Amino acid sequence: MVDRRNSPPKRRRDDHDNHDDCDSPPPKRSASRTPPNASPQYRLAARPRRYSGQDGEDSRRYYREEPSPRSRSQSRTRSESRSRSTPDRPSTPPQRGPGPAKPTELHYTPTFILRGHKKGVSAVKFSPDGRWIASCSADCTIKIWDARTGKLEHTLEGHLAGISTIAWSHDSKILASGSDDKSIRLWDVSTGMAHPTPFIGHHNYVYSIAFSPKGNMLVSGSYDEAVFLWDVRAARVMRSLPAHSDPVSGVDFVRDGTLIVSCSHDGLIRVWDTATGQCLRTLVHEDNAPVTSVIFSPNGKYVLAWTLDSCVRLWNYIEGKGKCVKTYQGHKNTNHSLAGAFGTYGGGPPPHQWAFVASGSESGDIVLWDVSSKNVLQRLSGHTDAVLSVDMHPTEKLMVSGGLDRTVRIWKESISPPQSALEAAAAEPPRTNGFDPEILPPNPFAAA
Amino acid sequence: MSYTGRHPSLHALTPLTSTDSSPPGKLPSPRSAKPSHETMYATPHDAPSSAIAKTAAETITPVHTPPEARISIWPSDGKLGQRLYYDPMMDEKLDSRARRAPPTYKEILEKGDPSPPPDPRLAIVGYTSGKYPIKTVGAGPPKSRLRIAPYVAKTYSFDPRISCGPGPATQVVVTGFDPLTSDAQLRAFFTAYGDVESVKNQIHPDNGSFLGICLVKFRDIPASRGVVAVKASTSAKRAEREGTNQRIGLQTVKVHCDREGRRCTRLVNYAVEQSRKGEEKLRAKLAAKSATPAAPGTFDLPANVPKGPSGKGARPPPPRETLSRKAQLAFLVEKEPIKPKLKRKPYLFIAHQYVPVLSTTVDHLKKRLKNYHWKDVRCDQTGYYVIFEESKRGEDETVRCYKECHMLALFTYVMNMECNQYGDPSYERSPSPERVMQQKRRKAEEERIAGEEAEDWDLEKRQRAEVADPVAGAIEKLEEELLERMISEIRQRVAGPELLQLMAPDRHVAKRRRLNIPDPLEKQEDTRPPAAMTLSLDTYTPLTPRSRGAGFGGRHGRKALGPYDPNRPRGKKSLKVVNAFADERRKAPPKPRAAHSLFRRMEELMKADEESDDEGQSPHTGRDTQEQESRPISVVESSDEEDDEESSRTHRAKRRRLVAGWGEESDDEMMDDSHARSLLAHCIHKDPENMAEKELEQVIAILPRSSPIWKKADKALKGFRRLRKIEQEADAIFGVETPPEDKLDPIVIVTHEDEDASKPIQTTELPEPGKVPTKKKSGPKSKRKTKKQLEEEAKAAQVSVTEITEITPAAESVVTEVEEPKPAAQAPVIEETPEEDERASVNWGVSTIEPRRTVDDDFSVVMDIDGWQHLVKDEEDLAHLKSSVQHMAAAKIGDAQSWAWKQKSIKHLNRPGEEGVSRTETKIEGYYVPNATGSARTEGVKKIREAEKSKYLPHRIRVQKEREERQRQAKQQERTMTTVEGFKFQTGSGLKPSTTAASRANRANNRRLVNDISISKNMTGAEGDALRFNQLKKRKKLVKFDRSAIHNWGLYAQENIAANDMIIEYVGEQVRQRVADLREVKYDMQGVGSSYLFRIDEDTVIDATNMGGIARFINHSCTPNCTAKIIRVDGTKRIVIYALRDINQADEELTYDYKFEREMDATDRIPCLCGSVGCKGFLN
Repeated sequence: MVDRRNSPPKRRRDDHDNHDDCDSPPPKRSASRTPPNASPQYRLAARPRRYSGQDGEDSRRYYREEPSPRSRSQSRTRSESRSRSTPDRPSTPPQRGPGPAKPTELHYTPTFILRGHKKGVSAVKFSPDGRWIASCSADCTIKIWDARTGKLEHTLEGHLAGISTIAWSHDSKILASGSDDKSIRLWDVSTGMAHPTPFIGHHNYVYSIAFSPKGNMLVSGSYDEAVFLWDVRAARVMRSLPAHSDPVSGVDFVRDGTLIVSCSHDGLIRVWDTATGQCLRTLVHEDNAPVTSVIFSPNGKYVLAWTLDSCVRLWNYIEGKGKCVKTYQGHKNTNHSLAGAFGTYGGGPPPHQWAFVASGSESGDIVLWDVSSKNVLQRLSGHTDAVLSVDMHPTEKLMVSGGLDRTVRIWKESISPPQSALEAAAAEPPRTNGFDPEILPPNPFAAA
Repeated sequence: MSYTGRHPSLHALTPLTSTDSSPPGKLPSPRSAKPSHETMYATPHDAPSSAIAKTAAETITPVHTPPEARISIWPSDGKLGQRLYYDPMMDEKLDSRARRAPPTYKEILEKGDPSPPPDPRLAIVGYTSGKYPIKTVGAGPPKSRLRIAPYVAKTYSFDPRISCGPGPATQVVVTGFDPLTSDAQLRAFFTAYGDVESVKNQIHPDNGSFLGICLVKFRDIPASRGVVAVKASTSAKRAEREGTNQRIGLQTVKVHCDREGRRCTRLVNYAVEQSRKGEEKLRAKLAAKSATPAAPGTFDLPANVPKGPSGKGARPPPPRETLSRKAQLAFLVEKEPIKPKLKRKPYLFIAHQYVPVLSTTVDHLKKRLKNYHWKDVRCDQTGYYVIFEESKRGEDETVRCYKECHMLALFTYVMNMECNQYGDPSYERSPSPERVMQQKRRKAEEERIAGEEAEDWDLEKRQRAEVADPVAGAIEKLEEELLERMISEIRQRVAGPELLQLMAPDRHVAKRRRLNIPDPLEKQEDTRPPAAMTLSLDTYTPLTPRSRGAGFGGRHGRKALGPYDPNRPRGKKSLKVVNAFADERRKAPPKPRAAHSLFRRMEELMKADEESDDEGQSPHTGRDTQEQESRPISVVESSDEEDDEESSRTHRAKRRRLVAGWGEESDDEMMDDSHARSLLAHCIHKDPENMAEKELEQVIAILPRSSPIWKKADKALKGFRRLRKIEQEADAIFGVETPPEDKLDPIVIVTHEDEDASKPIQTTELPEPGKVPTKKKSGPKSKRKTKKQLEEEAKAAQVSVTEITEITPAAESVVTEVEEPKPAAQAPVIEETPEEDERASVNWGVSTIEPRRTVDDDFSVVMDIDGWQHLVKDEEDLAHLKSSVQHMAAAKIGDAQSWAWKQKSIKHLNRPGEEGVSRTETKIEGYYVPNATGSARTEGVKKIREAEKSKYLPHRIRVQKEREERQRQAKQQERTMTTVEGFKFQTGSGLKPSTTAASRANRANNRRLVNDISISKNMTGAEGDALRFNQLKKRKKLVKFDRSAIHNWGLYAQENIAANDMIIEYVGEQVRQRVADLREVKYDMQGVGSSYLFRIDEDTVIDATNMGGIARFINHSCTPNCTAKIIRVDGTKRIVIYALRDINQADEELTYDYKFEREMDATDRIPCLCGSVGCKGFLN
C-alpha cells in the first residue's frame, strides 16, 4: 500500500538523522552530528501504551533498558556508515549490531471496515486496555466495537446533537463524550448506559476532551473559547482556563496529569499547569495558522500539533520559549480538524523500536511518518473521504481510523513484505461487520 | 537596707529612700490577704489582726484616718535565717558518739553587700567563648570539650509571622545635636544607615521650640533588582552602633534604639520638665528681682538651650545636694486637702496608712508609675493622689494603672490604691447658670404647650357635646364613605373609560404627527402603580366634602368617637394627627418616581380596577381596602401605641417572609401544630393575605388562636368581609342587582362586624355565590373533572387494561405503561383544590349544565413517546391514530420495544428528574446552531464572525446585557427628563458628586505631593529620575483587564474615575517610524491580529506588542469614555489616557477613539464592534 509515486514534498531525509534509533529528541539539523548523550535520554516512542495502568512498570523497563554508552557509540558508527550508503535503497540495512535494523517503510493493511454510523465519524479511540474501539459520530451516537473481531458491542445514545470527541478513562470502563449539545456525558462501557448527570457548563459545542491519567479530572475545550477542567466525581467545573480567542480545538493531558495542553483556531498552543491553572508556555508558529488538534507525546516531552497549513508539528515546549523541532508534511489538511497518534514500529525489543506519527488526511489517506527522520513510512488509502481521526492500539500493531465516509477501519501491520501484503489484501478483501447504516433507527431528538 | 537579689525590681527603685522610708520605730505596712501579694515577705508575728482581716475590697481607707502602725516586710532583728555549717552526722571520720554532737549553725545576717558572689566558672579561661581546652592525659587533642554554661546559642531572630510581642526596635532616639538642626539634615545623616521612614524632631509642647531630641524611624528596604533587602531593625541597630558619637553639625550625638518611643517620651518629658522648672525659677527670680533688684544672677538659660556639648543634656543631672532634698521638696506635700479640688478628674488614691506621706516619695511614685500617662502626682496629709487626664483615655489609663499596680510594692510598702476613675465620688456638680436658665425655659415651654392642649381639649369637648353623639357620628361617617365610594365608582366606571377613550393614542396620531411627538412606547415591564393617579382617583381626600379635613375641625378631630384615654402621653404625641377613619397607609402615598404618559396611567388604573372588582386583590385598591378595613374601629381608637407596634411587627413579618416563606417563618411560634399543617397542606405555601376566603376560614378554624398566621388570616378575612360589605353597599346604592339574600342591612353588617372583632374565631360561612365562580374561572387548572368523571375514567382505564390483549403488540406496551398510573396521578391533583370538594358536596350528581368531554386534549403536550402514550388511551384511540397515519411509510426502527425504550431513555437523560408527559420540546437549551454535517468536528473549521461570537460567549453576553440595561436606563431617564419639562434635573447620578469630590481630594493630594517633592528637591539638592517618573505613575488609576465584548481583551476601571482624570499611561517600546513599518508588516504576517502601535509624532511610534503595559488592551469605541493625550513629561512625550467623563467602577469597559484615518473606499476596513449608539461601523 505504499504509494511511491506520491513522494512527499520535502526531500526525503537521509537516515543519518536518526543516528540513535528512536532515542529522541529529534535533533536539530545543525546538531545532527553532536554526540547523542548531549540530549535527554528519554525515548519518544518509548511508551507503547498511553495512560495504561502499568505506567510505572513500563517506564522502569525503559529506563533499565536504556542503551549503554557502548551501544550508543556503536550505533553512531552504524549511522555514519549508513549515511554513506545510498538512501534510495531502503532494503539494505546494515546488518551490524544486535537486533533488527530500522525499517524504512511499514505495511499496515486493512483488516476490518466497520460500518454503522450514519454520519461522519468524528473520532475513534482504542481503549487503554486495547479491547475496545470507541467511535463517535455526527449522528449523535457512540459505538463501541470489539477491537479484535470488529463486532459492534454497544451503541450509546443520549446526546441531542452530533458528537465531536470521546475519551477513555484509564481503566477502560468509562467513556466520556463531548457533543454539540454543549454537554459532556460519561458512559459505562460495560452496560452501555449513560451517567445520569451530564457535565453542563459550556456555552457552545464541546470540541475536545481528555481524561486525566488518574481519571479524576477531565479537560474539555469548546467552541466557547474556554478550557474547562472538570471534577469528574462532582460533575462540576473545577477551573476555567480563559486564554483563547477562538474555538479551542484540542486539549490533552500529559502522561502524569500535571500539564494540560490546549490549542485553538487562533493559532496558539498553550501549556497549562493543572494544579494552578497558570499558563506555562505559549507556542506560536510564525504563520499563525489555526491549530486544530494537539496531543502530548507519550513521554510527555513534546507536543504534536496539527495546523491547517497541512503541517503536523512537533514542539519542544520545555526548552526556552518552546520551539518547533519537526514538521511533518505530505498530507492535506486545510479545513478539517484532523487528529492522529503516535505509534511504534520495529520488531525488536525497545532499543530497536522507533516511533512514528500517524495522521489522517483530507484526501482520504492515512500518512505515517517516522518521528525523527520525518520520512513517510507508509501512506494508506482506503477511506473515500477525509480521515478525521486515527488511533493506535496501545500494545499491538493495530491502527484504527475513522472519517467522513462514515466508516471505521482497522488496520493491522503485516510482517510480510509489501508485495505479498498487497496480494493478500487483494486476495482477501477487508472484512466488514455487515452493518447497514440505513437500517438503524433515526434519533428524533437529533437536531437536523 | 537593701536586700540584694530578693527583689530586684525593688532594688532598682530604691536607691534613696530605702533608708528612711521604713524607720525601725514604726510598724510595717499592712499586708493584704490577696494572693498576689506573694512577693512580699510574710511577717505574721507582728502584723495587726485588723490589717489581716481586711480584704481587697475593703482596702479603701477613710480619708482622715491617722497613720496606724506599719509592718515591715523584713525581720526586724536582721536575721534572715540559719545556715548549717557543719553536721557531725555526715562526718565519716567521727565515731558514732561523736556524731551526736549538735550541728553548727550560723545565722544568715543581712548584709549591705549588694553584689552576688561572682560565678566561679567565669574564671576558667575561654569558658564563655567555648574554647576551653580540656586537659587530657596524653598529648593528643581532647576527646571532648566542656559544654559551657551560658550556652552560646544564637538568639532567635524576630519573625513577624511567628514571633509574638513587638519586633526589634526600628527607631532610634537621637540626642545631643543642635536643636536648630533641620529635619533634612537629620534625615540625610540617618539615610546612611538605612531607609528613613520618618524623622520626628521633638518639640516643646509649650513653646514649640525644638528640644534637640529626635525620633528616627527606619523602614524595610525590600529586595529588588541589585538591592539587598535590609530590615528596618538592622538599620536601627546600625544607626545605634555607628551613629553614636558621630557629629551632626558641630555636636556629637547619642543614638539609642527605642522600640516604642518610650525612651524618647521620657527624655522629652524630662527636658520639658527641666525647662519648665527653669522657667519657674526664672520667673521667681524675676519676681525676686523686682522686689530685690540686687539678687545675684545665677546663670539661667532659655528652655531650649542644649544641655551640654556631649549630649548629656538628655540625662538627668545628679542631684547636687542630697541632704537638703527632703527639705527642698517639702512644698510637695500640700497643706490643704486635694480631694475636693479634683472634681471629675480621674485619680488613684494611696492612703497614708499604706505609704507614708513624704515629700520625697512623690518623685519615686512618679517614677514607679512612669509607664502610665498620669498627669500629676500630688500628695497631702491623707495620702497620694495620682491624677490622670480628664478624658476617656485618662479614665482608661486610671483603670489600667490600678489593675497593674494595685497592691504592688513601693519600696517596702504596699501601694494599696483606691481607684476613682470618675473623679471624686462625693463630688456634686452644681449646674451652671446657663443650664438653669435653659431648663427653666424648657419647662415654661412645656407648660405652655400643655396648657394650650388642655384648652383645645376643653374646646373640643364642648364642641363634641354640642355636635356629636356617637350614633350620629357613625352615620355621618358611613355616609361619607358611601359618598366617596360613589364618587370613585363614577370615576372608575363612567368618567374613566370615557377619558381613556378620549385619550387613546390611536386617536391622536394625526395630532402627534403634527406636533412631532413620538408614538408612545409599548407597554413595558415597568408597571409601577401610577401613584399620582391613584392618589386622586382613589377615593378620599380633596373632593369629598366631609372627609378628613372637614371632619370636626381642629387638630383633635380623631377624638370624635373615642373615649378619653387618660394614659395617652399627651405632650409628646400631640403633634401627630391621626384620623381614625383614614388608613395610615394612605397618608403617605408612594411618591411617583417615574412619570408616565397620562394615558398609560389611566389604562393601568382601569385595568387594575377591573381586576379589583372581582377579587379585591389588585395592587392599588385591593390591598388598601383590605388592610385598612380589617382593623376594627375600636381597636384603632383605643390603643394607638399598641397598634403601631403591631403594624410594625406585621411589616417585619412580611419582610422576613420574603426570605423564609410561610412555613419557616412560623416555625418558632408553631411548635406543635404539625397536625394543623398537614390539614392545611394545600395552602401552606401561601401568604394569608393571598388566600381565598374559604381557605382563610379553614386556616382560622384549624390553627390555634395564638398562631401568628391565625392572626394574619383573621385580619385578611376581616378585610374580605369589609370589602364585601363595601361592595354590597355600593351595589345597594347603585342599584346593581344582586341576589336578594346577599343584600344585608348595613346596620346588621356593622354589628356583625363588631361580633367578628370581638370573637374572631367564628367561622360562619357567608354565602357568596357571586365570588366563587369567578375565582374558579381565574384558576390556572384547565382540566378539572368531577368525581363522577373520575370514576368514569378509572373505569375506562380498567377496561383498557383488561382489553389490552386485543391490541396490536406494538401499541400494547404503549398503552399499558400509561393507563394504570394515570388515574392515580390525577386524583390527588383534584383533591388538592378545596373548592372542588365543596362544589362536589353541592352538586353531587350528574352535571346538569352541558355535557363535557371525558378527556380534554392538552395541545401543549409534546408528541414524543410519552405524549402519544398520554394521548392514546384506549383501543379506539389507537384505531383512530392508525387510520390517521395510514398513508405514511413506516420508518425502520428495528425492534420497536427497544427503540421506544431507547427514545425514552434519551429523553430521560436530557430531562433529568422529569416524569410523564413533557410540555416543552426536548432540545438543546440556549444558543445552539446545528452543524450541517452533524457535529462540529465533521463540519470543519470555519471562521466565526464576531457578531456570532457575541451570541454565546458568556462574558460578551454579560457585557451586552449590562450595556443594554444602561441604555435602557439612559433612555428612561431621558424620557423622564422630557416629561418633566422645565425641571431639568438629573436623576440616578447620586454617585457623581462623591466621585468628583473624591477626585478633587485626590488632585489636592497630588498637588501636595508635588509640593513636597519640590521642597525635598530643594532641600536635598538632588533628585532622581525615579521621582519624576513616579509623578506620572502616582496618578495612575486602578484598572484591570478582562475579556471584552468589543475585542478579545479590554480594560476595566476598578475604582470610580472622575472626568479628566488620568487613568493610565500607554507604555511600550519607543521605535522610529521605519521600524514600526517593518514591524507592522511582520505582525501582519504573523497574524498578530491586534496592532498595538501608537504613534506619538511623525517619527516616533510606541509599540506595545511585545512589551508594554496593559493600556494596550483598551479598545476602540466610537463613543468613547476616555481619550488619549500626548503630554510632555520632563522633555519626553508620553501617551496618557484620560477619562472623558465620570466612569463608574465595574460599569463599563474603558475605550477611546483610535482615530484611524478614514479610508472610505478601502477594501480592508476594520469593522467596529463597539456596539455603541453612535457607532460608525468601521475603525478606519
